[in-house]
Amino acid sequence: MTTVSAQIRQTKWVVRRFPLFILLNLIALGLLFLVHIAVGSQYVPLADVLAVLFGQQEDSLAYTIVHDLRLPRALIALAVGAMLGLSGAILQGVTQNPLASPALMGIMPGGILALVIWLYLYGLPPTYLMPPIALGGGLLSGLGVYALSWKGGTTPIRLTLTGVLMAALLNAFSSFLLLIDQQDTATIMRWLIGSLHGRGWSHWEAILPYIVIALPLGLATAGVANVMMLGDGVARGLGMPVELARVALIFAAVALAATSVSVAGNIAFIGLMAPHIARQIVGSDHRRLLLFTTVFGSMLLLLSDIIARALTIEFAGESAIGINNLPVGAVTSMLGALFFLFLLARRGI
Amino acid sequence: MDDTQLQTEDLAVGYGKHLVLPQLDLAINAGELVALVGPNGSGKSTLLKAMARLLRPRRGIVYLDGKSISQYATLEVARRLAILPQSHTSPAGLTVRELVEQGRYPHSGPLRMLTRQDHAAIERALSLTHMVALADRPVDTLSGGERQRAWIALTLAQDTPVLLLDEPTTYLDIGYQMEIMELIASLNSQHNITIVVVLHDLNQAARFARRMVVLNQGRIVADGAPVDILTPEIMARHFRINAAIYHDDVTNTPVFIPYQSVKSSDNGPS
Repeated sequence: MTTVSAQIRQTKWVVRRFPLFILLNLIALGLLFLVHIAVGSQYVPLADVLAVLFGQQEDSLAYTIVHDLRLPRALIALAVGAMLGLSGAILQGVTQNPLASPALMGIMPGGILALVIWLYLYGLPPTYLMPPIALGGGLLSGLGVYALSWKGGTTPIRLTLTGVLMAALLNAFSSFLLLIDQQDTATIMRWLIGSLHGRGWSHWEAILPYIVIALPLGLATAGVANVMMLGDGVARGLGMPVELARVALIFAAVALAATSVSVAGNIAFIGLMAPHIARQIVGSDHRRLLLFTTVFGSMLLLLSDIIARALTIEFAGESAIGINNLPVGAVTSMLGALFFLFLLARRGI
Repeated sequence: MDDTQLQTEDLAVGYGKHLVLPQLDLAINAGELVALVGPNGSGKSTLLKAMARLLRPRRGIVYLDGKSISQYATLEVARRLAILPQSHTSPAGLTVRELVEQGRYPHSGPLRMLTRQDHAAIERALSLTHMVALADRPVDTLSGGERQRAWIALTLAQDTPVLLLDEPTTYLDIGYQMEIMELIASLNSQHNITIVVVLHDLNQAARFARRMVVLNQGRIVADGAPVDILTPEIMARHFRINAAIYHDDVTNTPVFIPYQSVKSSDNGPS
């Protein structure tokens, strides 16, 4: 009983002061962003980071490290975390399944496979072409999941099962191409595991238009997602065209997650953990959930990437930097595993 | 009476090859409280869903306010008619107020901000269902009766002249059942909402509805005031029970007491 009432109180504070809560989280996000830039083979003091960000020290070593190398990677981590978190929250709503995610539903694997096929056929695409290729793959995969779930209409459970099937199939196919295309093993592996290593301004510029379009689009689905989570019968009764709404929600989720794999690869668990934890904190109302998950996804990925860098420095030493980097996808998988252990222990399943 | 609000004409509805309702004509007048009753599988829920355009009919027309329901935009239907389906899941962590706010969707559309009018309708729905004190509680932490009231509040926030309810008292204990039925009766008598409600409990239907429509095997087999419906013949023929009928002086309605089941070979529906 005490846990229930405590939970209610907590929800109420966060609900009543939601703008303040988001502001606090944005401040925390800003701090993580600065720390992310500061940490690396060469530590840059926070004061120097701030100085560079505010346009000073243009010809210093700190400027080169912060502006040319670390800032784009931090921006990409920020954006990709946001996109994955938001995409997962939308998918969990539309499938009414708290364990759905863009990775498990075949959306990210679809984007990856499109990139791998392109690489196999035409060689590595120019950076600016990667997001549209991945988006195309994700859309095809999403369309496939939807079409295969159709039986005079779709249902959340059929979408979930078909999605899991599609993800397994696409991942297997990517792995198969990895086997054939031995030359590009490193590139493909980085896509499959998910990595932010070596991401620079060109990657940021390639993905920026998609961020600018897909993030507001995703956040704007809150009203529809709220009605859809009440179940098909109630949603229809409220005048919601449920199939059209499902297509729109899945499209938004694809646009977010598929484009993100073009710069970061198949980063696992962010799209699953971020909305899951966010729901525990701010509740199920999508007007809050989507906004908070977006911020929280960014925080999770920045934190994961900080850990990835710290572990790389700790275990590989500075000599190995640039060759053997721990991919951030490995860290998020590890965090994801711990998260599931925690869920199991707490629920006593 | 020519103030028919909801009407089915030559309606046929089915799933797959099976026709649940082969041919059905029913007219509901404005201001009525009608109980739809019948044995399991008689097509009560199917009829309710068809009347709320949740199911597409094979043949025939549903008229709402004199116009075919299929000719309205679906949001316009939702501003005239609200339905609470029998099975609905309460999403974890959603508060009562947040649930009830969704009832304003037909008025505000997908990219909405709630207006003052929306908030007024939400407050009214909460107060009619006595949910004001519980408004900030998550729906999944409420008791069965409170939860059902929250869902009814959602349909009331829609602010429609017509309300369709599918077995709103099922799975509730008798105290909550009474509470929900009293709420439904007062919505009808004091707020002039036309209500069609599917009920399992015939005594409850007789107690609260002024008109009972009996369905059996997809057809209307009796339609009238409770005294005309609660008869030994109808009980035996359509509900397969031998029952004694009494008049209850407190509520001034008929009540029945079942004695034994009728063997299925004795009496089938015609």
